Amino acid sequence: MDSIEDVVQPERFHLGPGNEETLRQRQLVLIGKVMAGFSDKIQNHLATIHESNGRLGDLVGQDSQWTEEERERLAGIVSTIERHVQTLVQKSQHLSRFARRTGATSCTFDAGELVEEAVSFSTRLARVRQVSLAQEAAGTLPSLCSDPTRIHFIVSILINSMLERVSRGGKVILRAEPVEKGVLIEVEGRGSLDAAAQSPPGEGNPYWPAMEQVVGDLGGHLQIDSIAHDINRTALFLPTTKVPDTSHM
Amino acid sequence: MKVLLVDDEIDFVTTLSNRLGLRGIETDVVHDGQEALDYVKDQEPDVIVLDLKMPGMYGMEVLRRLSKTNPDIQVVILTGHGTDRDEEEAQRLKAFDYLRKPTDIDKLADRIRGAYRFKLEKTMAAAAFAEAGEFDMAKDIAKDAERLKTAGEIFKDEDKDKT
Repeated sequence: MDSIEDVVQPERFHLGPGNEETLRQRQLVLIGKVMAGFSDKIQNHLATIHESNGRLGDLVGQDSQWTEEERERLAGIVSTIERHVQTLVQKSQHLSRFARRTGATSCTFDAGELVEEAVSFSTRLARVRQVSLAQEAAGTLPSLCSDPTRIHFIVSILINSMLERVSRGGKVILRAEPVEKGVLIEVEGRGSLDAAAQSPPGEGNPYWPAMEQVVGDLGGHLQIDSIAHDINRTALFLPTTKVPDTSHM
Repeated sequence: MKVLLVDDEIDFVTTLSNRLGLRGIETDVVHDGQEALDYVKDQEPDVIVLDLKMPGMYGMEVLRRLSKTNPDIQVVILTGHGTDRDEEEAQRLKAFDYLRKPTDIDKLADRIRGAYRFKLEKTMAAAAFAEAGEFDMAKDIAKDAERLKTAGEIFKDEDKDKT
């Protein structure tokens, strides 16, 4: 893997006039490298906090100077720290995997991991919107040989735009399942729609035409699957193998 | 059992060493890959718990060298930033196990004991074949831990024959 220094050395990539797309691509790779390095550092600090907290737990368990009540209270604190460390470790692992793929235009990657990360990164918006966000697993997803950066972007937009559409108290469910020669990702919004979102998901969404184009380039398709009174659904099909067609870009 | 911990995060590895000590596993600690190789030259450990990303020499390079020079030493990778590719490479180089930081201390202690048991069985099997004059088999076992399974099956058959 290239180091950050490699990524920012323009002479390595023969950058000249008209190479803006290449430059943008290298910029994405650089952002990915920075994030990956940062998440590695976080992971190291978390490991140290985890061990120090565990050591504290060992001491509390061994030392007889504590009363039973004190011991319980300390064990509670140790367990709270451990719980938060584990949550952060998981977040940081998502960030790390995402970062390592950022900027790649074509590689083989685990579709299940990508979906898991997109959901993980959207939990904050869901909490702010007071909409619950859940992922329903439906079998092991195949690996995709495609453009992970663009796919992650599309899946994130689908989730976030559905979170924006559903009113407070609603629910957004993400389903990803293996289908013939690909993966089907469905984002379903349940509950009444926000007043500003009464039209179908595609209409009025400035991203929609561009998204359809990008998904088409990847050999897949986007579809508004059904519109019921309180159920909105968008579906994204992605083929297992497709080298992106960027000839028109 | 002689165990070496190799990690450049000093606070982490010191605390880990303390906690393993409480669980009956005494360890020595070094902080980079070259130190680890120097240590191995002086006093061969049974098990090494090895971080991957360290200044100077990466853990994977240490594993690569050890797999050539000291294949009996069992290596448990313990890393905070390994990729799937790293895991595959570690498996290819016959690392005993691959764990991600942070890991449960009792799980790590179990893996270290498991690695030590495996090393003993492997050494004993190789010695038994050498004693029986099966030098090729003994050499194979010493080189390649996968052959231990085959050796174990042969021993079972021998036991059956004896009874």
